Formats: sequence, structure tokens, C-alpha cells
Amino acid sequence: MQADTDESLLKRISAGDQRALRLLMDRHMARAIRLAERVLRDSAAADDVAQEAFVRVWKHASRFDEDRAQFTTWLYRIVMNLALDRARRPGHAPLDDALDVADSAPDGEETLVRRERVRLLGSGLAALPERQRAALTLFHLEGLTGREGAAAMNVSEKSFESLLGRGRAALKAWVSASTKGRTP
Amino acid sequence: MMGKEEFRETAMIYGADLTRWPAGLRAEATPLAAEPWAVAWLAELADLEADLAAADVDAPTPDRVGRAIAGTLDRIAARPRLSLGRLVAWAVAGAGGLAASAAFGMILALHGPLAPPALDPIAFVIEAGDLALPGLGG
Repeated sequence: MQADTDESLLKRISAGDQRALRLLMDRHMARAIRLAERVLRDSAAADDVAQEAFVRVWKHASRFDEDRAQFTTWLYRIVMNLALDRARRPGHAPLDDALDVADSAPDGEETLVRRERVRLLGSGLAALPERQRAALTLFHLEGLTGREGAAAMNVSEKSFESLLGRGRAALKAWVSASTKGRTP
Repeated sequence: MMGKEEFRETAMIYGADLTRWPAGLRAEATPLAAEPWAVAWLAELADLEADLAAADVDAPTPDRVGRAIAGTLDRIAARPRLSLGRLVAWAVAGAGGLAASAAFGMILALHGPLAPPALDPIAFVIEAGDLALPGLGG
């Protein structure tokens, strides 16, 4: 039996079928949470954004036009809008301490240096303007193309490229400056 | 023909993996990619990208995903969306209310205030007096 496509589930959702929504969430909720957390660096806020994103899907399923975009592109855009809105709220501060990931490898000098670089990069990511962090996330971590990333952020490809370039340059500078600052 | 500076700028945008560059730019960049300066530049960016991947957040656990799904269904139950049926019901209720208001207004216009006499002490007293006077005077 052929599984329902996302787009056919959306048609059922627009007719009020909650079971179809449940199926769609089973497929994509993890992706929505992770994308939001990559942008927000805050797991509680990410959970909230992902849930709100699927409430929007439920409410506006009839507006989705499968001739214009895939469901995942639409979902990316909804999550990204909500996450960027949340990131701009006063009081929101990305967390960078969640990046101290336990490593079972022996603590050789090389491992320690690498871990420190990763920790610095995590701090640098948290310090980036949210739109640059979002662009880097979409391109490098979600694996979207420039065109797909631009569509998800609702900006032109040129603007997306600019965000990517500035974000990467800022990260590189951050790691370099931090390393020099710590090295005698 | 792509120059050294354009190669570096493009690499800052699209990263160390040339297969992820747009096709046109990749074709221009490929002859340069074996140059020692380009190899060093791409290697530096590749390190940065490896660290970026290592600094990534963990995938959510199945429990967390399940809680988010349940939470979404709760939110939907608490905030039902506008449906055609619900809009029609609201419209009918609204129209019924309007019709009742209009009918009430017409009655007011034709017959004046409909307050019950018992609630108007002055009118009640005058009425009672009118009824009593002939007997007293007779």
C-alpha cells in the first residue's frame, strides 16, 4: 500500500481530519523542533515554536498550494518565521552551554583542542545575529540549497548568500579571536 | 574567469564542498581548486564546517516529540479553527439576534415603552387613584 504523501495529508487536514495531522506530525515534528532549536539555541522555546507551527498548519492547511511548493518548504518557512519572531523578543537569549557534549574518546591533547574549538564555535553561533544563524543552519545543517534556504527565509537568493557569507565570516573571526585571546 | 578573490568570497558563501556551489560558479572554480592557496582556504573552511556540525543540537528524543505532538493537539482543541459550518452557525445566530432586535425596535416604535406597570410606581398610583376617585366623591 502506498503511503499518503504530505500533500494529500494536507488536503485531509484542510477538511478537518485530525488523524491526518497526527500522521504529518509523526513525520515532521522532530524536524521542526530541531530546526527551531538550531535557530533559538533554547530547547523549551524550540518546543513551543514547533507546536505553534503545527497549529498554523492545522489552521491554514487550505492555503497550501502544492503546485508552488513542497510541504517541507512551507513548514520550514512557518518554523523559521516563528523562530525569528521569538528570537527578536526582548529577553530571549540563546544558550550556548548546551553544546558541552560528552565525549567518550580519550582526552588526548588533540581531542581537547577540538572540543575547545567546538565549544567556541557554539558560543560564536549563539552570538551571531539570528538571521545569519538561521541561514547557516538551513544551508549547512539542514542541507538546503541557496534557493531553498532563501524560500524558507522569504528573502532573495542574493540576500540569503549575503547572510551566509557574513555569518561564516563572523564565525571564523570569532573562533580566531577567541583562540588568540586564550593563547599566550 | 574567476579570480582568487572571487573564489575566496564564493567559498565564504557556499563553503568548502564545491559540489554544493551553484553549477555555473562550480565550473569556473574547479580549475582553481587544485591551487595550493585554494586547497588551504577550503581546508580551513572544511574545519569550520566540521566544528559547526559538531556544535549542532541533538535530535529530539521520541519522548520529547511525543509530548510536542500531544501539546499541539491540546492547543488545537483549545483554539478551534474557523470552519464554514462554524461561520454559518455564527451568521445564523447573528442574523437571528439582529432580527429579534429589529422586531423589538418596531414594537417599541409602535407601542412605546413596554415596561410592566408594576415597575412604574407613578403610573400605578395615578391609575389606582383614577379608579378610586369616583367612589370617594360619590
